[in-house]
Amino acid sequence: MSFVSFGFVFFMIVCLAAYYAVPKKYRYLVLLVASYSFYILAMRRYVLYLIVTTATVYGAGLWIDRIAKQQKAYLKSNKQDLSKEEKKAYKSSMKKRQKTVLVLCLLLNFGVLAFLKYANFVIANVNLFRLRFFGRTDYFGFFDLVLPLGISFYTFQAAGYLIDLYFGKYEAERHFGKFALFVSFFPQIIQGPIGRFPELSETLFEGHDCEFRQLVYGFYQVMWGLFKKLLIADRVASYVGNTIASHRELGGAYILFAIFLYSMQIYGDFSGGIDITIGVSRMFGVRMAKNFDRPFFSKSVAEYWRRWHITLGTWFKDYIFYPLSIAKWTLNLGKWTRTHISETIGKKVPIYVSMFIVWFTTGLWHGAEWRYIVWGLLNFLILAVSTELEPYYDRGYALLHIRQDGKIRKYWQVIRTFTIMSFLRVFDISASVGDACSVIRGVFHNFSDFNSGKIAELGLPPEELRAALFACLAVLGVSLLQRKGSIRDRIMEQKLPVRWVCMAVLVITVIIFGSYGIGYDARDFIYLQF
Amino acid sequence: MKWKRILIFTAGLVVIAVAVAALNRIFIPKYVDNNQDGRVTAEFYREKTELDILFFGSSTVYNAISPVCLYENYGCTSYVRANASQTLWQSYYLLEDALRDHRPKLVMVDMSFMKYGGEFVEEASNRKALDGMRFSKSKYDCIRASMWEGEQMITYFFPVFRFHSRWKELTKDDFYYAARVPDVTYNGFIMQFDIPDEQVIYDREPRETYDFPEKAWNYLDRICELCNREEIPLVLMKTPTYVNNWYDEYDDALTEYAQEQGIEYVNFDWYKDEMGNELRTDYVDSGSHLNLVGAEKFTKYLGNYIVGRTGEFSHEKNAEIDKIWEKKVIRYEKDKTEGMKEYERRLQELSLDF
Repeated sequence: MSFVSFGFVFFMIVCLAAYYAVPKKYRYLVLLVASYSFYILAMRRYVLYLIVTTATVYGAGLWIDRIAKQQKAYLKSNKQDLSKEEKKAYKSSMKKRQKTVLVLCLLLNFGVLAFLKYANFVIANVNLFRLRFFGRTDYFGFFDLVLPLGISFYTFQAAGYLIDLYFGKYEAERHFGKFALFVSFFPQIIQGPIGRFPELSETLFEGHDCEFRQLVYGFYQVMWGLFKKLLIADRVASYVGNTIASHRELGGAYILFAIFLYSMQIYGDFSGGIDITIGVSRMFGVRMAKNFDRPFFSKSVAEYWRRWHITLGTWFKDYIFYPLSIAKWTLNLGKWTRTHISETIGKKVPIYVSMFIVWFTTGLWHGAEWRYIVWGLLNFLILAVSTELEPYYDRGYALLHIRQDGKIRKYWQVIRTFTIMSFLRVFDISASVGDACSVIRGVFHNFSDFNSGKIAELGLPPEELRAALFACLAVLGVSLLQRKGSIRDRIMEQKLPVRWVCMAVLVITVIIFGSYGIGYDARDFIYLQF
Repeated sequence: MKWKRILIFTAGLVVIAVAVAALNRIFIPKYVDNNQDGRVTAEFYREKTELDILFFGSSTVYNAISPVCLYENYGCTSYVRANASQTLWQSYYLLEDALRDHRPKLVMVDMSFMKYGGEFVEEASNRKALDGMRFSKSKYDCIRASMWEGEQMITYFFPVFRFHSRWKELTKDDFYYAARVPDVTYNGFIMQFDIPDEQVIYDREPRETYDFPEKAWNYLDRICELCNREEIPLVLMKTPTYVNNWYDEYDDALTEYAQEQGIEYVNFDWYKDEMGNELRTDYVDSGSHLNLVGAEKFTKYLGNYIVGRTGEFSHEKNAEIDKIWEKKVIRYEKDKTEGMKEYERRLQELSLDF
């Protein structure tokens, strides 16, 4: 069931009515039933994967928690009898036990994810390797695999819970139903945001009062999400897809236009979807983590990644980057480099090695294809190069008499970052790495040919193009206004007629100008595939 | 304070309802200048007089039976509830819907679309038949029976969700006719005056099977049951055509069915000579749809058949009916006179005799 369907609207009405109709202490149960119904409607028997992840992480969490409590109780009762060394040894053995539980559970869950997502990718590459280097044509067969909806998102969320538990950040959730809801909460299972247990559980399990303000607030956010999804993302999708598919026959201007439009498409699609998720959750009184913070206003690629898909970025930072950068083997590698190569380089080795692994994994997370891996590694390369060149940039700006805090520098940095990120996304829309390179090359030839007739032929007739550009300008305007705080908050402070007019304008604009229904291709959310 | 809130909230809901209704009206195609058959279903609800006969069927019916001509010649009041490619299930639900306001003396259903089952679904035809239908359970059931998998039920109740993409092509007419659309049919009859440049009738190809689909049979049963329950005589018919996709086996099956049900089945193809039907001058296309000249010939013949079956019609007890119908006659004759000029021009152009 897509978020952008009348079926989902009906589903939401039923869920909201049921949620606020039952006594407060059972409201989490309504959400749990709704979440599993949503999942079963979409994936049928594949719900078993979700149940396995829920059950194993729940069990492992309790186990880790029990070991921690055992340790605490033992140390308390034997406080006088144990020496410092004995205490240390005991703690170490208990930590080892916890680690074993953690690793086994993570191996199982990431193993399932890896197998479902990457098994065929590995087989394809092994087949290719054998053919290239040994001339073998007896290929290994592929598995007939179905990737369960949102598996990357719920696995990451559940794994994050377990890792934090291992580090003693909080106690395990003892209530299975509530934990199952944390893993399966239906608004976020499709494309995140990846929630953290302490923050999400604060509002997820509690039965909330039915507040008109919450409902309206949530509804505004849902409509704004639909605005971005239906007026921008789905409208330009045909043009982008057709242009990239036939880029070899097109002039550079069409390709460049498609590349920039794709940035708007994926932003409209993903941040629109997240707005719907946050808005829907808000209607139930549940607060979700922020996943976007006006990323196109970023002045550097590093800043961009702090403002785009924030929850995935922090997940990688907290659970891969930090542990790796202080891991024994990376520190030893840094030490070795300092001794044998250079002090300066040696200091940076643990950071860059961790960054490399993080971006390799991020690429792989986006899809089991080389183009995603290359995309991830290019991000790493740009981040590393820009970090190293930072001092030279400052010198360059000084030479050109451009002030460090001046507007020119700021605008230039924003445009530069947007352009870099747009070009990196070519790997996202192209069929392969070779194709992506060909698309980028295509931008630089026959640039003068650009007319509205051809744009219409490629899927964006003049009226549709105007509507898309109007929507992009609206998003830009709203983003500029957001610098001074939430627009929804400001609207909610207005008098009733103003509030109604704002709501009516938004709803009518989405209904009339949205790309949906017969005549438009229904498009799934792009991040659904990740 | 609480009451004030409730009042404001209710007022808001009313405003939303009005806004949605206005959007529906603005965005729905108006079917005034083109595709006038899209108005047939909606115009039925404007009929203020009691109706003696109700006709159901597809485009072959709305082009073939002129209720005004029937009134002029036989004094009976009637309405054609037919739409382009109207299926048996649509005829059934439109009949169910019509019987809420009318108690006709006779119901006649055309069988041309009996040969199409569930595989015959076309959005444009569904829209023409259903968009004008008033909100009711019949409408809901009819939508369920008619929709193809790509369609959404809600778009039939709120057409703006289907036609919102017309924002690019809205004209002044869309706003003008949003408030009121003029009558474009003549009690469901659509006048046509064209004659094709040439007439080619292809031979009938043998078919693998001559069985009607189960879904069509099922709804024909329901039509019979409904008429039986309401004690309204039912006649199954086929309008006169020269189409090559109607077979003797179909006639045999329907004749047998009619006998079992104790009703009549008449294929007016059998009486084309008696009614003076001419392929060359009486059709707007290659023998499927009658033009006005062909329609009036058929209507007069049909009227004779009906009167022979039910007896004379008279509305002496209700002079109001005649008054209303006289107005219909004036409008009909005026438009007919205008249209006949075009018809005669076409005859001359094609060197045909009339």
